[in-house]
Amino acid sequence: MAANRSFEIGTGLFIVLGFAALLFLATQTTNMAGFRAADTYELKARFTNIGQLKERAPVKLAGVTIGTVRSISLDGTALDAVVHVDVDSQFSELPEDSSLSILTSGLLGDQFLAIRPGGSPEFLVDGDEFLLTESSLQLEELIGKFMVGGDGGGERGN
Amino acid sequence: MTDPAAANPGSRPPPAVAIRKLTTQLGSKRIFDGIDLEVPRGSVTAIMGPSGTGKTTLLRHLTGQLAFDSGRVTVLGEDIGQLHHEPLYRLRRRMGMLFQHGALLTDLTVFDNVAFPLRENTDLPEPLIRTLVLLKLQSVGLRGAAGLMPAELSGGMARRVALARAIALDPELMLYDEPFVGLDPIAVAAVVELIITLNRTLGVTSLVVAHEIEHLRRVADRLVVLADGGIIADGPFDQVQADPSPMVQQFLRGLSDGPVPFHYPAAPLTDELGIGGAT
Amino acid sequence: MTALKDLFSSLLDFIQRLGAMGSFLMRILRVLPGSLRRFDMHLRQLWFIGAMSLTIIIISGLFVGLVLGLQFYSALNQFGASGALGTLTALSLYRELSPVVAALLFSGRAGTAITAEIGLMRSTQQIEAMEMMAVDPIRHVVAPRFLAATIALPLLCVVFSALAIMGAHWSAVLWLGLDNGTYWSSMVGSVDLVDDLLAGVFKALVFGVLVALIAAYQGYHAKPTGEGVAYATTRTVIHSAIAILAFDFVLTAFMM
Ligand SMILES: Nc1ncnc2c1ncn2[C@@H]1O[C@H](COP(=O)(O)OP(=O)(O)O)[C@@H](O)[C@H]1O
Ligand SMILES: [Mg+2]
Repeated sequence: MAANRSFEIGTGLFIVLGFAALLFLATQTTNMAGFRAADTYELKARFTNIGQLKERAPVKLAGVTIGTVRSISLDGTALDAVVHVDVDSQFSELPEDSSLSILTSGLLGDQFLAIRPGGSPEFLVDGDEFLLTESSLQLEELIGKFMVGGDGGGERGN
Repeated sequence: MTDPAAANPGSRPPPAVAIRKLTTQLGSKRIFDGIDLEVPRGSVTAIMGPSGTGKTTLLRHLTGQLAFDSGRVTVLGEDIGQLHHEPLYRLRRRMGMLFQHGALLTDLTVFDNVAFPLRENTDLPEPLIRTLVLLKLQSVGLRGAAGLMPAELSGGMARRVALARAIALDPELMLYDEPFVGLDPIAVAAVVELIITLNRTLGVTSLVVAHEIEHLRRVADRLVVLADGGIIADGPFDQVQADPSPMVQQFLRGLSDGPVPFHYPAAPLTDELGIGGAT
Repeated sequence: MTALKDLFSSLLDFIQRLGAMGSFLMRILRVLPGSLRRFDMHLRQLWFIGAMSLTIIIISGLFVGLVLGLQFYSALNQFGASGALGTLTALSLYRELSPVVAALLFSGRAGTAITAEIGLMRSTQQIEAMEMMAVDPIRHVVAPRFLAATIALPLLCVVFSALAIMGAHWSAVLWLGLDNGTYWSSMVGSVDLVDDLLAGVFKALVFGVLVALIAAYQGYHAKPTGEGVAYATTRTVIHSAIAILAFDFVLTAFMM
């Protein structure tokens, strides 16, 4: 049954190849490459407008992804959006006065959160809140500002 | 057996095959128009008839592969019309069929082809299967070909392997569909011998469909001639060959024209060619 | 009036054919668990149906990726949005191109082989011979091919995607100079494992069932002549293509 054996090996290789391809794609090209609960700590931030920010959007520091958006909710009394983010525990030394802004990758790309580090010797710990935030820049408002000549966009917080 | 027609007078055992008022319509063609046929156990019956009369169709009715329109077909005591799935398969394990072209499974060796029905239908241990297969191959003279693939066999060898496979489960009833076609005289002699041996030594009931009357005369003791949707002659060879009916005579003597016309029905040739007219 | 009648009768034909296929599928599914005891038959078919289709899948995947890299780069660059190339490539591949193109190629490579093989067995009376040996040909011939095709297509679809991702990387990053980090990170940022990648694999699974069913049905019911088998093979390709595209629409509509 030598022929049978080589069929089995060949078929086995085919299945392994398929799953290897799946593993490659899952870990290199999807959000599975991001972060999972095991080794993260949670921070939160309030925004007056989150724009198109979605759950699982990356959180970047100096362009490097160090975390993801876990959830987005609306605070019913303060009437602003509360964003919870998971940050890799490896980066546990974010200064307390760091700021968080919603940026867009490219002109039309997806939105993500960018951390701008502050200078405080104290660090943010699990459950802390970013005090300085900058909401999403709305394209319509920008255009409106240009057209009306400065002050068409209405008030924006912070 | 409650059917009074099937209960035989005297103490003869019930027949291997009993056909009553069988009618079959395939497409627009009426293949059988109420035929009756009984095949006693242990007999060898030859079936002849012009091509396209439905000899293969008749065998397919017996194996339950093709449904008929009305009538009753009893094979080895089972009413074929009532059988489905598992009971039908159980009955088929007691029958063997030699197909017109052998029908060996092309992706299996000769050995595995003969072993196939044993492996699929029994739980015999592999060494025993090996012994059985080699014995069956020995009986058709092809034990040496066990390792060959079907594509490497000549027509005669393929037919003999198919025969070894058909008898692998020791059937009670064997059906042969044109077993002599395309074989050289030596292979024909081998197949003739096998049919005879199976019948004489193991008592296998056989139905042999063929055109070669001289071979059939050697293996069978009864000749049935099918034509035009019915049985036109039935009896011992000598009696059938002496039958005065012109249709039987035309067929047995191989005359090209007679009651079965040489010409397919058509308008007169002169009309169609536009010549002649009123001469 | 007659046109309406023709339409009605061909609609009836179509529904009848659908019903016949449905009951054929039921017959396969009924015997499938029993046929699993002969696992060697399934492995063998997985080899012939799956592994033997790898070459065409790999080559096509690579070229589709190369072309996507070139096309998307030149299109996106006009808007200064070439940073989205990775996202666009991955999403269009995972959600649509890989399952559909792999399935179409698969129906041409493996579907036709299944039809021709079963049709040939029918025309050389091998199917009848099995029935006579009290072996259900659905269980022994059709079920292993059906299962193998159903397993093989999702695997082939993933291989296709992987090669296409590498192809696009080749043309966009290595030739046209897109930033390597941007290419990969744009995918990580917006491609979801379940909603995009696995949803596409699920599509491929459905297409695998469709192609396997159509190919086996056509072969099993082929007219037992050379011409009949040739005709059945052609029909396998045509019916598969229509079924794949129609089901793609339905699945996409449901999954969005
Ligand atoms: N499935 C079928 N549908 C319609 N006609 C059939 C079918 N099978 C056989 N026939 C026709 O039935 C007739 C008898 O065929 P068959 O039993 O093969 O004849 P033969 O006596 O030569 O073996 C032929 O005319 C054949 O064309
Ligand atoms: Mg015939």
